[in-house]
Amino acid sequence: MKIRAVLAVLVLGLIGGCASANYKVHPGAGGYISGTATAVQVFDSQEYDAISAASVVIQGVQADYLAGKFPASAMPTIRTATNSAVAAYNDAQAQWMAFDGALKAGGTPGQSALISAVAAMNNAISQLTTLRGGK
Amino acid sequence: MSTTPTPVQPLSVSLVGGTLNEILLLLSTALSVLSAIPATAPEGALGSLVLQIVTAAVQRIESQTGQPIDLTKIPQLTPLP
Repeated sequence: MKIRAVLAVLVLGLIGGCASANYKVHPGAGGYISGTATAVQVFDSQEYDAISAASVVIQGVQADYLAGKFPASAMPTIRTATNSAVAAYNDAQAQWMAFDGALKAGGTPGQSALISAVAAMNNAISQLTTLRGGK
Repeated sequence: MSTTPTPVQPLSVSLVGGTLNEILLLLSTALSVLSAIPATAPEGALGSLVLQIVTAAVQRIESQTGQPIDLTKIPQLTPLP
């Protein structure tokens, strides 16, 4: 129980940290190395956070699915939702890779495709977590 | 946890392609830094210290590889069968 409390504090701290002015850009995001990051590097890093978090959720549900932790009647629905989330995640990941790569190459890529892909991914993750919560 | 600060020796191991011994030495160094924190220190001091440890490790890797470290690795996922 104590460990769970500590983990909860850490997670809340990370979430709070991401939302605050003290947000730390990941080394490598958009070619960021150190010092003050540009706005587009902060955006790149925050989108990376969203995609990374989604991968953790999806892989958790996949592990539970493969371990048979859902009721048999819910398995087809969970499988469909999980695979939809995987497709949305893979699209967001590809968009981020392209965006991040263009930044690192010194380009100025548009953000709209990445924003749309991450929004679709977040929607799929939201549906998945709702289903998972109802197991 | 001791309340007496102890001197911390600089890392003298390669963090690139590190062996188990090197990783254990890194952890040992990190723990020796943490053990120097007074038990009554606020959480902020602990967080700041951990960040310093991570930053130092990143700087060391960058100095050894000669290029900026890139921690942004995200794979494609495979659908369920």
